[in-house]
Amino acid sequence: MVFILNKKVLICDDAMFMRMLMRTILSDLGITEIIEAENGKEAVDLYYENNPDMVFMDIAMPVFDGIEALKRIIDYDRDAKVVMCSAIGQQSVVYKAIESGAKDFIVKPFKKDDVLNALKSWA
Amino acid sequence: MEKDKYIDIFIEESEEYIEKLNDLMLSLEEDPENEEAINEAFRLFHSLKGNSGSMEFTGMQNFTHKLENALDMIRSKKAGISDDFTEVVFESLDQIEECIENIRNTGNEISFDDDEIDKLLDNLENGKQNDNDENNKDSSNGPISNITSSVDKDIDGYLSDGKKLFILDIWISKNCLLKSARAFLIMKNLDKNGEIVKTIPETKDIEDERFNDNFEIWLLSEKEKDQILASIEKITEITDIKIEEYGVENHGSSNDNVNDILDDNNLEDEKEKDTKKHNSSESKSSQSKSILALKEEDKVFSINKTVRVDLSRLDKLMNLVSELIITKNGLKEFFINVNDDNAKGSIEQMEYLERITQNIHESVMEIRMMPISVVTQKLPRMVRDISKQLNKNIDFFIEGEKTELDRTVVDEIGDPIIHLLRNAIDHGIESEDERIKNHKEKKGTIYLKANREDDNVIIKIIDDGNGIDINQIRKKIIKDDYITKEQADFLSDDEVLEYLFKPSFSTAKEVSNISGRGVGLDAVKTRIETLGGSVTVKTTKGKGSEFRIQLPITLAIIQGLLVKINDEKYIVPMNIIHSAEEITYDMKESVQGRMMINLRGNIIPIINLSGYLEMEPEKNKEKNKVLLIIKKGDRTVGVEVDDILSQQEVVIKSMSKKIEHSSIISGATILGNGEVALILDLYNII
Amino acid sequence: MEDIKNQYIVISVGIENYGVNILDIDSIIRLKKITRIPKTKPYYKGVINLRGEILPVMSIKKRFGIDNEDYTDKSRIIIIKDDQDEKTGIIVDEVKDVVNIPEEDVDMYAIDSMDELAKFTKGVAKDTYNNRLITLLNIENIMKDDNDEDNDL
Repeated sequence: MVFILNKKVLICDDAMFMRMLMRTILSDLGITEIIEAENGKEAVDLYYENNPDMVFMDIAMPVFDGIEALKRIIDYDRDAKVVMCSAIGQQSVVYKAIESGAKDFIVKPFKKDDVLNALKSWA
Repeated sequence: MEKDKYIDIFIEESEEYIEKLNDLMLSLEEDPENEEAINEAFRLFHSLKGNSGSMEFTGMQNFTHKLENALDMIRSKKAGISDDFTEVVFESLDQIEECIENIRNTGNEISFDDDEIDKLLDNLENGKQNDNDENNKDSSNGPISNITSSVDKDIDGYLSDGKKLFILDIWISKNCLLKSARAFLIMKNLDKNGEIVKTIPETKDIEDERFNDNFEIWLLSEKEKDQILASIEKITEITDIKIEEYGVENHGSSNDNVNDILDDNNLEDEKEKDTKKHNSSESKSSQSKSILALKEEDKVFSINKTVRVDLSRLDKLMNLVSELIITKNGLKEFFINVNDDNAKGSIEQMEYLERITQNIHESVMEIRMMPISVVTQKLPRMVRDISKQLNKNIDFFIEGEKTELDRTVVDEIGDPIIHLLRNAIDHGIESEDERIKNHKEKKGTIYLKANREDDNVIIKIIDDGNGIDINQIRKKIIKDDYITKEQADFLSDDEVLEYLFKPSFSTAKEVSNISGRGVGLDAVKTRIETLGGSVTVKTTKGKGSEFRIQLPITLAIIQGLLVKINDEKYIVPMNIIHSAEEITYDMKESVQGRMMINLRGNIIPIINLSGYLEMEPEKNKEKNKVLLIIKKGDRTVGVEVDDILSQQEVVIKSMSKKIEHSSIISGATILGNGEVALILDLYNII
Repeated sequence: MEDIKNQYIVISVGIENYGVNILDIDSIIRLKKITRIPKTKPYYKGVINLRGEILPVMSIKKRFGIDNEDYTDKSRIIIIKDDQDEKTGIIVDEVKDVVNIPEEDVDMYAIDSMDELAKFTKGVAKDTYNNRLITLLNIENIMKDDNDEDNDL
């Protein structure tokens, strides 16, 4: 049984369903500080305010999308650990994200272990 | 995953998305170039796909994936929106809606009919502009190729500049879904530490995912082995890395190191199975721990702005507030009758209590309020569909969607509104040709306007169509033997219009399956009156009609006037009372058998309730009375009562269904003195 | 231990004694203010407030077709609860006592079935202890609307 403790995680997805899912997985893994953003802009603002240990960022979001938010976060913090959450069929967007500084990516529908591995590596 | 936890929110969010998508499609019909709408639609289908995938509804996942693709093609300008396009998307949205409904009822998805969407996708593919084909054919511009130098030397040739050549053998997880992206990520990181000179298989093959779970990378670098390892070992979905420095003889140890590091970071497949079993039995206790953890942090860090509350709890709260008000009224009554000095101080407390209960009441009401948009959201799409079906060209506008109503009222008001809209489309708005013939705009207009007026919400459905032919109704009234011609002529236009709301009355020449046999309007009236409201209609021949629905904002607690009629007490809801006047006997005049009064120039008929209330005729007819002025549509009447005793908040209590009563009684309440008082529905008798 | 299903509250309506099975009864209260309901069946006197609930109240005399109602301070309202937990009050002239009548002492056929009131009763009980006859009331039928076959809500 693995717990990741004392880490702050930012989750960004416009679907409430996804955020809820993520939140539950993260809590199960022991994360107690979970911050949620519904769109790209909110993601960036919350990053500035909270300086989380890592970010799970959905690729498609309103206001500005995951890539844009990623870029701005990296601008602000070169070492930001942003892991993109993408769906199948978004290969080219993932490429873009990697080029823009994403540290890693996980693919939906993801399992607890995907999230766990990402946390272990990056949080 | 435990689907039950998420099913409600999945259903709710999916329904929200479907509504939004309908709206987006409607606006794209008007303006197919609207990029924002296209992008949002794409994102919504994308989310639907993701959510349904997580819930393991693979049918829905695949179906929405197709729609996502279709939108993607539009989005990347590979194709444009055609009429066909929106039609197919609408039809698909209906299927998805059906699916969600089925999930809600049975927990299972439905099987989808892909024909239309597949055809659409084919058409979009074929209609693709050609400028993208180049990208597809020539993959030497692919990102992986971009970070691989294309120099193909003999292996020793790489070692020239004092740089080391590392050969990395990388295995990724068998379940890896985006293999080439995964490879790209790995290669990008390696690229920061040197130069990738070769890949096995070829970069093109890696980009096209023509490899199983293993590939080899040759890296030219000045860095040390562990530095290079460090640059990629954290990447997820890597199951093994073997790194050799070309020309150096220490395979064994380096491999061991790598595996040690990897074991720390990754759970391999076999290990996964074991730990999973272990996990599931422990998961319950960890869940309770983490739920506690969740609750704590929710308070501080969560940015959730809403709270989800069980509806039954809300109802319970509502009932308690009602009881509180009744008790408060009882207490108040008690204080009014107590006369000593101590009581004076308590009166202040009483007033304070009154203010507080008022505030609590209002707060609870606010929680129960919902905007009418909950109902009106679906209407634009419905109007569009029916208009198409009936070949009418109609513009539909909604105003005041934010107007709020008690949730029980909102639940019930949908059907009546839909019925009135159908009527407006079917019977109200004329065909394009007819409109042009009459020098009208060829597009008909229907408005739905909602606004708040004191304790009521007013909803109007206005059309600029034909208007209702009052004379035709007049004739029908005679024909159907309701009354004689003389009586019919005597009826005012408003009174004639009210016949529309009587059961089995229809002037439609044929029974259309849209608006039925005209049994609709009487059902509409009944439904609205059950909610404590009323419906009236105004019309102008050739210009259009306006249906006006008036609803109390809340069902359970109303402002009421306690009145005395023949020594009995009754409650009249304030929301229908325009004003009250004291009148004397000589102010009344009998005109053609009806009692009337001239009030400052207005001739108002007087209604006496003794007949309705089965009362003995009055002994003292010359008593002074109070006249309650009530307006209904354009008509004004005065209802006479003996006296107004007080104005108070009235909690409407349910009465046993066993006891039948006349329609003039709409409910009952308990007064401050514990007695039951009946609530009168005066609208019906006007 | 006497079986509760054989226990009856004895009431008087005029000079007659009637029994109401205790299982049908929710409570018994003194007369209180009854709010008249216009245009309803003549045997319904109106509604009352019972601890916050509004219940209909009927006069058993009127139900039996007897017209002279006379309320004394002995008059009571018996609150009946039906199988849907809905309550109704019945005004009676007096509540006398509780008796236990074993089944064998109940004669189901003593009542002339041609009598209009027969449907309101279900047998005559011999209260040997008190040396009297008690007509047992059929509460279900008393509550039923004469016009409905079935009281479907």
